[in-house]
Amino acid sequence: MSEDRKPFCEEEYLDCDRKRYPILNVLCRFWEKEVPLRALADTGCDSGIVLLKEEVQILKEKIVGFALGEKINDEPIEISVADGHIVGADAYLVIIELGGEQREVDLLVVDSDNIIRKETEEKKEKEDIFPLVGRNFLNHFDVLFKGKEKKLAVFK
Amino acid sequence: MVAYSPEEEEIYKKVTGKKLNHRYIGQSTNLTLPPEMDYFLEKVLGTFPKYSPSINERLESLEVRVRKLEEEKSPQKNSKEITQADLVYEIYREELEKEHFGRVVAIDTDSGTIAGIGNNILEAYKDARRKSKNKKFSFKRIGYPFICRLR
Repeated sequence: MSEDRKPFCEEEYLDCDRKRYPILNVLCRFWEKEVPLRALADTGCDSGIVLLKEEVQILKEKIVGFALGEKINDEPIEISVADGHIVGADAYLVIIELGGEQREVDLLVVDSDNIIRKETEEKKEKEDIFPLVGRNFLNHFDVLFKGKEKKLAVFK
Repeated sequence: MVAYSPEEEEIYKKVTGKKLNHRYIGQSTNLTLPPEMDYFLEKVLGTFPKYSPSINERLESLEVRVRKLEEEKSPQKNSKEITQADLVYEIYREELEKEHFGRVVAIDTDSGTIAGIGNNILEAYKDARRKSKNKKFSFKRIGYPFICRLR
């Protein structure tokens, strides 16, 4: 990445339980409602935002008239979670705003109660061979992880 | 001295169809088991005679083992219901995995076709919207059993 490029957004790593996380504060637009959300800038998932079904429920309780964006899947999307289960998720189209820049991203709402199956040992071995795919915010922006400065810099 | 009870011998005979040759095993500190009984107790009953479990304890451990086996074999957890999208994907699997491994497909289940392909859900969706009148699709990552992994 060229040194003279200037980031349009910089965020310090978030301290949590003595660990630092590359978290971005984004403004998420659900229809007419704008909701500030935290999003992990990391590889491992290609969606811009991931929410749990329970978090959506909280948003619905807190914000009058809250509704998610346009749903784009008909069958549940299969997501692998850390405990080895494959759970179902729904994808919605939403507009996010980061440092004044707007992008259309897909938002995944993970339903941890909808267990589709459990990964078998054989499949786990297979996954170890394949690298994790998906780029999260890296799909939409260039993200520089400044480890020493404990900062995140986002470029157009 | 540790001896097998008549109940144990009876269960062993019922399950394996064989009669146990050994009436008793030596002292618990220096236990030598006939291999077939050792296997039977450990694999089927999930117990070991040197701990001298009672019949109730053995039944309990057997129930635990049955529950574990049922969980392992449960179709809800280890396998999923085959969906329309799975069937469509199967038709195109070879071609897709050869040319687009790791990318995401949007499947139009109504027409049974691959509507769009992209590097992520959004790209696949936009590609599919250009080619199909539908507004909802099924998404799969080519060559992977899931779209993405959350940690």
